[in-house]
Amino acid sequence: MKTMAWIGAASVVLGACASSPVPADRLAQSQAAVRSAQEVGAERVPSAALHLKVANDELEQARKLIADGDNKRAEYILLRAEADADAALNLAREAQVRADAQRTVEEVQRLKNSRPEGT
Amino acid sequence: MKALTMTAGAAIACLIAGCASKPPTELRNARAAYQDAAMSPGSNLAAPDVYEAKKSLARAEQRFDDDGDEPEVRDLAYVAERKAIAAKAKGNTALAMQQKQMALQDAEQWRQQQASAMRQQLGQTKEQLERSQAQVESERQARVAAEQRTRDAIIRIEGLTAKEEQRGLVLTLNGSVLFVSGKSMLLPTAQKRLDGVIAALKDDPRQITIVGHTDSVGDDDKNMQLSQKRADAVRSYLVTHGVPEQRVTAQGMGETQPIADNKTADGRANNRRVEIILNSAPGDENRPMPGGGQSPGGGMQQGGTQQGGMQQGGMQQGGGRQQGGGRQLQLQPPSSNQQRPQR
Repeated sequence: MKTMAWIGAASVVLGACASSPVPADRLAQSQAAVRSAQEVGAERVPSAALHLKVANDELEQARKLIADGDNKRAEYILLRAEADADAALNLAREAQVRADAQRTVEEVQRLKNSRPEGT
Repeated sequence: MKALTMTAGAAIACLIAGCASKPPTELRNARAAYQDAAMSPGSNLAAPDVYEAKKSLARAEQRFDDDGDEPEVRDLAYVAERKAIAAKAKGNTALAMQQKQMALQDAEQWRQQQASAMRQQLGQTKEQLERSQAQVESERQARVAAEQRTRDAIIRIEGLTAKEEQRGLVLTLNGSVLFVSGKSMLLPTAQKRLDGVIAALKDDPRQITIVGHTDSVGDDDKNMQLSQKRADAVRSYLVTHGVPEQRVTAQGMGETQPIADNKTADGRANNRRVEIILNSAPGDENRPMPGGGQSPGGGMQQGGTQQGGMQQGGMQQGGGRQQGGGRQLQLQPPSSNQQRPQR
C-alpha cells in the first residue's frame, strides 16, 4: 500500500515526463540564440560573456538530459539557455552602441571646439 | 523514498491549505530585475520588451501561487529575470542611438550656422568692396572732370601752347613773352598770362613743375643759371598769387633740352621757353592720350615741335571755341606762318 502510494505520489510529482517528446525545436532555437550572441561578439563584453557561458553550459546540460530521456527537464533547461543567450546578445549590443554613441558625441564636441561659431 | 513522500505530501497539503511558501531566490531576483528594467531611462523606448518581461514574470508568479516552490517555478523565474535584463539592455541601446542621432543633428546645425555666418561675412566684405570700388571710380571721374575743366580753361589763354605728354599736361610759354632778353625778371605782360594760368589751375589737384629753358647761345653754365632763375621767378609769381607753395617746384634745364634747331633764329626763339607742367597723377603715366576731340584741326594732341598744341586754324574751324569778340587766339609759337610779331 505504502509502495503503491509512493508510486502514485511519484507519478504526480514527476508528471508524465516519460511521455514528453524530444524538444528538438526548442533545442534548435536555443542553439540559434547562442550562435547569434556569439556572432554579435558577446564574448568581448564582460556582462554578456557571462550569460553566454552559462547558456553554453545549459545547452550541454540539456543534451545530457535528452540522452537520459528526461525531455521535460531538458525543455526547461533549454528555456533557460535561450533566455541567457538572448540576454548575452542584448547586453553585447548595448555595449557596442553605447561606445559608438560616445565616440560620436566626443567627435561632435571636438568639431565644435575646433572653431568657435562666428569666426 | 520517505523524503519524496513527505515532499509530495507537503506540496499537496500546501495546495489544499493555500499557504504561501517562501519565494525562491530566482523569483525574488526576477522581481528585482523587472523593477530595474521598468524604471530604467530607456524603458519607454523598449516598451514591448519590458511588457514581455512583465508577462514572463507574471507566469512565474502564477506558477508559484499555484504550485509553490517547484523546479519549474525556479525555471520560469530564471527566464523572467533574463528577459528583464534583455529588456533593460534594449532600452539602453535605443537610448544610446537617440543620443548619437542628437549629436549628429547638433553637428549639422552647427555646420549650417558656420556656413550662414560665413555667407554673411562674405556678403559684408563684398559690399565693402563694392563701396570702395565705387568711391575709387567717383574719385577718378572727379579727377578726369577737373582735368577737362583745366583744358577748357587753358584753351582760352593767349600766348600759351598746351600739349598732353606722358609726363603730364605741358603748358609752354615763350620766353620773350615773359622776360626781357637775358634777364629773369617777369615782364608786366607776363602777369596777364600767368594770371590766366593760375585761374585755370585753381581747381586742378595736380602738382606743378616749372621748367626753364634757353637756346644754345652763350655760356652753358650761365644758361643753366638763367633758366633756373626764370623758373623760380614764375614759381614765385604763382605762389604769391595763391598757388600753395608745396604744390609747385621750379627747375632749370639750360640749353640741354632744345625743341627746335638752334641754328635758326626761329628755332632759337622756340627754345627760349618756360614750361608749366601739370604732373600726371600716379598711375596715369600709361594712360592713353586724349583724342583730338576738341577740334577737327587735331585738338591738343600734336606730333611736331612746331605745332605743339591747339592750332589756331583748328580753333577757327571748330567755331565753338572762338571767343565772342572775334579775338584771335594766338596759340601757336610766333615762328609759324601766322606772322604775328613777337612780344
